[in-house]
Amino acid sequence: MSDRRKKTKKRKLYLAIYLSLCLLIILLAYFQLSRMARDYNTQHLELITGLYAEKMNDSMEYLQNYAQDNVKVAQAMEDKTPAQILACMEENLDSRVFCGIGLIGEKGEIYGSKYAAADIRQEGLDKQALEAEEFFYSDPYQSSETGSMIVTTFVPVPDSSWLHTIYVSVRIENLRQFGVYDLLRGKVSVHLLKTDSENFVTCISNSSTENFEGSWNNLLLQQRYFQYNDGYSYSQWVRDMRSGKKDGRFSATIRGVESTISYRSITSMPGWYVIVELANKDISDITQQFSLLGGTFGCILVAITLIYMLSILLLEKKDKKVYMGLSATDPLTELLNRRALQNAVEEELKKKATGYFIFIDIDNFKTYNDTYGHSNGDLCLKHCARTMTKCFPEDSILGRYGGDEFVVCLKGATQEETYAYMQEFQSWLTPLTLSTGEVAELSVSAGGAAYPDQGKDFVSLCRSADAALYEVKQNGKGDFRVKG
Amino acid sequence: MTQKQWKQNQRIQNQKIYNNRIKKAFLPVTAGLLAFMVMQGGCALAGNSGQDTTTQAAADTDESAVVDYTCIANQGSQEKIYVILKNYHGDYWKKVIQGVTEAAEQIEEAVYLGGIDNETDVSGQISLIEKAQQQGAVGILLAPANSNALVESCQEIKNQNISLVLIDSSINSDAYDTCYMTGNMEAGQIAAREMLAMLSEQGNTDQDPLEVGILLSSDSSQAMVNRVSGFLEYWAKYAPEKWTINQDIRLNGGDMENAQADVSELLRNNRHIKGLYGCNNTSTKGIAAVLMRATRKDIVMAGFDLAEETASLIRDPDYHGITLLQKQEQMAYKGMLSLDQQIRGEKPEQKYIDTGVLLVDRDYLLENEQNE
Repeated sequence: MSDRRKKTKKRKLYLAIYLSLCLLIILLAYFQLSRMARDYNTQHLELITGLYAEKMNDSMEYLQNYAQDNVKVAQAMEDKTPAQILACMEENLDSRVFCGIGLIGEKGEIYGSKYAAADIRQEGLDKQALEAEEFFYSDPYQSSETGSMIVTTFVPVPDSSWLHTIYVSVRIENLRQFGVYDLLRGKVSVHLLKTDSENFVTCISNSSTENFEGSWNNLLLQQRYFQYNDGYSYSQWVRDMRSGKKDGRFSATIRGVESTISYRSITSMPGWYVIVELANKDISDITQQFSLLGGTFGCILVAITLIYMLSILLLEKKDKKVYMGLSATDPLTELLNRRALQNAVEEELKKKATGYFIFIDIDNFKTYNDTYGHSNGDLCLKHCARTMTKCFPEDSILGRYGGDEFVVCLKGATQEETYAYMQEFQSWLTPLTLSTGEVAELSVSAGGAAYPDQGKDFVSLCRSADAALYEVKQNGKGDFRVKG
Repeated sequence: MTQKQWKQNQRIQNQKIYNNRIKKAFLPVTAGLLAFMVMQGGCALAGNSGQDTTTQAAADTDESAVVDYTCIANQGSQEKIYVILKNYHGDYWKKVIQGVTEAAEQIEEAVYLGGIDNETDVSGQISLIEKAQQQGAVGILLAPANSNALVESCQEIKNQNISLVLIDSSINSDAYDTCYMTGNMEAGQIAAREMLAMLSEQGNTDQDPLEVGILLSSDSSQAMVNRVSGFLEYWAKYAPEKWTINQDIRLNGGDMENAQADVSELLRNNRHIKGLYGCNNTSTKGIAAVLMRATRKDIVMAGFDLAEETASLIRDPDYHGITLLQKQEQMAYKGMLSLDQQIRGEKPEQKYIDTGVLLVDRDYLLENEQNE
C-alpha cells in the first residue's frame, strides 16, 4: 500500500517536472523570439534613420554637384556678361527640383531674382559667401518669391576675375518628398535638427503630433511632451549631438506614446542631424506579430501538452478502476469476491455502524448442478446474485463468499427490517426459468448476525452468521434466522 | 450701406457674440460634469492639465463663432471680394479691419467682411469660404485659422480661379497667390538681439552665469513657435556661452493670471534669470505686471504687442524692456490692394511678403506721446 502511494507520488513529481520544463522552454523561446523581434526592430529603425540621413546627404550632394557643374559653365563663359551667364543657367535650371540660381560678384553684388537676392541679403548669406573658401549650405529660410522654405548652397568660383560664388536653391518640400514612403506614412516623423539652437524643421509628421511640416519648431519647446527612459535626459541628448556623436538611439514617451528616437548626423551639413521618431507600437507590425504568433503557438503547444498529459492520466485512472474492479469482482455474479467482500465489511465495521451480516446458502445447489448441468448451475448463481441486487438496499454490501454461498451486509438495518428484506428476497427467488425452458424451484437458507453486537470483525461475524445458518439447515432449510 | 445699417449689423453681431459667450460660460461646467461622470464611471482618463486643455479646446472647436458677411464698400459692384478674419472682435483685428476698410475705399470691388470670433473654429471659417465661393467671389482675403486644416479649402479656391491672398499667417501648401505676414523667425531674432543688448547695458558680463526665461500662450501657434525658434537661433549664434535659456518654458494658455503666476514662479525658482521673453501679448503683459509689482528692475524684458502694462514698464526709466508690434494694418491694406491688382490680371511677383515688426522702446513711446 505504502509502495503504491510512493510510486504515485513519484509519478506526479515526474509529471510536474516535465510540465515545468515544457513551460520553461516555451517561456525561454518566447523571450528569445521577443528579443529577436526587438533586435530586428532596432535594426529596422536604424536602417530607416540611416536611409533618411543618406537620402539627405545624397540630396545635398546632388545640389552641390549641380552648383559645381554651373561653376564650370560660368568659368567657360568668363568673357560673357553676368546677365548672359545667368540667363544661360536659368534656361538650363530644372525647375522641378530647384527653385533658384544666381551669381555673387567679388564685390558682393548679386545677380539673380531680385527677391532671392533680397532674401540672401536679409539672411546675411552674401557676406558669408564672400568669406567662405569652400561650399556651404544655408539654414532653411522662407523664400519671399515662392513662400516656401528653401535651402541654398553657395559654391565659390575659383580663378575668376569678377565672379565669386554661384548659388542654387532647393525647396525643403522637394527634399522632403525624397523621404516619403507609403509604407511608413502616418507612422514616422522625420525632422532636421540644428544642434546649436535646437531648432528643427519637420519633414514628415505622423498624424499624432502637431503638424508643422516644412516649418520651424524648437526641440526645447517640445520637451514638455517627452519623458525619457533609462536615465537618459534631454540635456544628455543635446550634449551628445553637440559633442559630434555621429548617431544614437534612445527610448522616450512622447505625448503619452512609447517611442524610439534615432538620430544621425548629416555629413554634408555640419551641426545638422536627421531625427527619426517612431511609436513603438508602429515600429514594426510584422515583428510584433512575429512575437505574438510565437507566444500564441507556444501557449497552444503547452495547452496541447497539458491536455495530452491529462488525457493519459484520465485513461490510466480509468484503466486502474477497471483493473481494481476486476480484482474485486466475482466474474460470474459481478458481486464482490471474497477478498473485496472482507475489505468492504471491515471498512464498514471500522465506522462503528450497526446492521446485519447475513450468510446465504443456496439450498440443494449440488442437485441443480447434477440435474440441469453446470451451465444451469451458473445460471442459478447469477439469478441469486441479480435477485440480491434487486431486493436489498443500494448501499448494502453484496458478495460471493464462495461456491453457492453469498453474503449480504445490510447497513443500519434493524432485525425487523432484515427479516422483511430476507422474506422479500426469498419470494423473488422462485421460480427460476432455466436455459432449457424448464421451471425450477429455488430457495436459500440464510443466517444473520447483528454487528457489532454479535461480531466485531469479519471472521467473528462469519462465525455467528454461520451458526444461525446451521440452525436453519438443521430445521429444514429455506428459511432465515438471526443468531439468538 | 448706410452708417445706420452698419451700426445695426454690428448690434446683431454683438448679440451673437454675447450668445456665444453665454454658451462659453456653460461649456466648462458641462465639460466638468462630463469629466466627473466619466471618472465616476471608472474610465481611466489620465488627469493631467494637457488633457484638460485638449478637452476645453475640443469644446471650443465644436462651438461655432461665425460672424457673417457684411458689405462694407461698393455694394452695387458685380465683382466681390470676401474678407475672412480669424478673430473678428479681437483688439489686434480692429486694426486689420481698419486696413481693410481703408483699402476698400480705394478699389472698385464690393468688399464683404466676415470671420470667426473664436480662432479655433476652423469649420466656421471653412463654411465662410464655401459661402464666398457660392456667392461668386472674385477674390478672397483670408487670415487662416489653421495652417493644415484649411489647405483643402484654399486649393478649392485656386481650382475655381479665385484670387487668394493670405494675411497674418500662412498655410502648409502653396495653394495661394500672396501672403502678407510678420516674419516671426526674424521678429524672434530681433527680440533676442535687443535682449542681448539690454542685458549688456545692465552690466552683465560674458562670464556672469545668466538665464533667460521664455513664456508663451500656446505651442500650437506657428507664429509663437517661430518667435521662439528665431529667438533661439539668434541666441545660439551671438549669446555668450554662460548666458543660457532656462529649460522651463512656460505656456499660459492666453490667461493673464497664469502668465503672472508663471513669471513669479520662474523668478522664484531661478535666481540666475536676468531676462524674460514673452512671445505674445498675454505673456508680455504678465511679465511687465509682475516685474513692476515686484520692482524687479534687474530683469530685462522683450515681448510682443503693446498692452497698457507693457507700455508702463517700457516707459519707466528704471526698467528695461522693449516690445515688437506687428504691422497688421499694413498686412490688410497691402493684401487688399494686391488682391485688387490680381483681379485686374496682374500676376504678383512675390508670394511671401514679410510686413516686418515695429520695435517699441522708451524713446519711441516718449516721441509718440509728445507728438500726440
